[in-house]
Amino acid sequence: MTHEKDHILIVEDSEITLYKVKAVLIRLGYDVTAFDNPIKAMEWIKTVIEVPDLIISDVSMPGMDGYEFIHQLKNDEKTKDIPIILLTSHVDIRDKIQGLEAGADDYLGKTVGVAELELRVKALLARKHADDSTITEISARSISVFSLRGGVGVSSIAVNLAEAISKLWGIETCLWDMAMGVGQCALMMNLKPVSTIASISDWAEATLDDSTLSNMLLRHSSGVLLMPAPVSIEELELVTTRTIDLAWSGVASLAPYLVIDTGSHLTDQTLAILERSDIILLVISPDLASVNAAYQAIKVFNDIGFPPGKVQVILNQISPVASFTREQISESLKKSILVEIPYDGKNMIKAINQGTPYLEIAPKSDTSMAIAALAYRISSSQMEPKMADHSEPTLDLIRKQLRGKLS
Amino acid sequence: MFTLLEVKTDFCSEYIDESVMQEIKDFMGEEGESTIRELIAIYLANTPPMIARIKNDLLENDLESLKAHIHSLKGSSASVGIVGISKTCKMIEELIKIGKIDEISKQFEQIESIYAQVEMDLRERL
Repeated sequence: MTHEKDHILIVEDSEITLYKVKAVLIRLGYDVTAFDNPIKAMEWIKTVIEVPDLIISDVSMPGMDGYEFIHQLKNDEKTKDIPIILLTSHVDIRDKIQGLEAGADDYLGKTVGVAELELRVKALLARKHADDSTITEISARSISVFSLRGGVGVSSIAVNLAEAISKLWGIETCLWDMAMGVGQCALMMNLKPVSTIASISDWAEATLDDSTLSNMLLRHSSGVLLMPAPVSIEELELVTTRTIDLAWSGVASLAPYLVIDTGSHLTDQTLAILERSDIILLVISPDLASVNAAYQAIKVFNDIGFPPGKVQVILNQISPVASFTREQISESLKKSILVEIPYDGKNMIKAINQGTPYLEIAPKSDTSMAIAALAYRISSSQMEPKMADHSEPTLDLIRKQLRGKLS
Repeated sequence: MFTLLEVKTDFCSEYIDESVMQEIKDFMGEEGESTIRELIAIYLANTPPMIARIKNDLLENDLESLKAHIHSLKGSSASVGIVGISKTCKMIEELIKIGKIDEISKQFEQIESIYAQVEMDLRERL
């Protein structure tokens, strides 16, 4: 999707700050509309046909303060989706909470440097444009979860995403563990593999039928069907790109959705999987090594010729302290972050140790909500219409909540 | 002697953070000079009336209005790097917060004195 010049509205009563921010934004190539008071800005925004892409507003202004201004914008259907940056000369935690409660998306100090201003504005606009296109454009049947760096939660996300899709629509979802030699998914779901796709590697295409594949599947109570990973050395040698060619269409048709734990190595086999997947969820944690690995992966995917929309970044907060913010990461990868998964180390470890998927350990946590929201984004455009007539009230409620979160 | 002279000609450096204006100037490229001149002109035009308003707030003991005006002066000073004034404003905000009203006028005199000094420096840049 290409964008016209982005249009930014600034509301600021200090003439000097207004002049400075406006000059910088115009220099950056944006269309800028400026008002020195929010009441005038509000009147203007009600009359325009096309609302601005971003609003930068002061907090303390005469007539109406910044919080009230945001409140009114967020309560109007026409303006509720416009991202807002609050400009303030004192950012203490109370101001932040008040601003975020009112619906601000970011904060900037009035002493903000030009570089910082540029970074924040670009990050918010990138996020907005990603959101604009998300619901309709992300619709995938086969979803690869991948990272070039291990230990960032690829298997956890794959397991719980598959379970979330199943639970959201009351359907079966196939989870294919292709993190070869590891086999975390079976462990996380407390399932014991019997046979793996290694056993079909020398089969001829014609003789392979769905029941052969279906017999390999391990059924989990949540509705997830697990295709376990080959783990022994003998098995690993048997799984080639040909095996994947052979198995792909069969595995992909076992359930409405296929989630693949594609592991953290770029081998011929994983590339064969990534190529065939509708979407690649690239998992990163907010640290330098992981961001660098993601950067390299995105570069490889670009070189291969994957369309940019096929690769989506998932920020997984795997530790209580993050070295980088979502905006910083998004800026350095030149890619917006689709979903951020909040930290919940204690329950994540508990889930793995018990062999129970995290969603069942802490179903109401923010982390679960984030995973469910991701599942909803990927599947709602296909599944929502089918659910119109026959649906369970509890599922309806969950989906309604998720819809509210996303729109 | 030399050091004294140096200190004297350099007195504004502790009140003005040059890096703030420099960053804007560098960023704006060919429009850098004119943007800085315009920012300084706005600052010079708006600050004396603001100082007069603050003086009046102090006379009338109007704390709410004082708070708003100090806040505004702090922001405008910071945005062009006049840190001597923005820092003193911050100090006054703290004094208001902890209720030490009697100490405010001393700080306010400080603002007037710093402004008198930076004003000359700023006019030369126009």
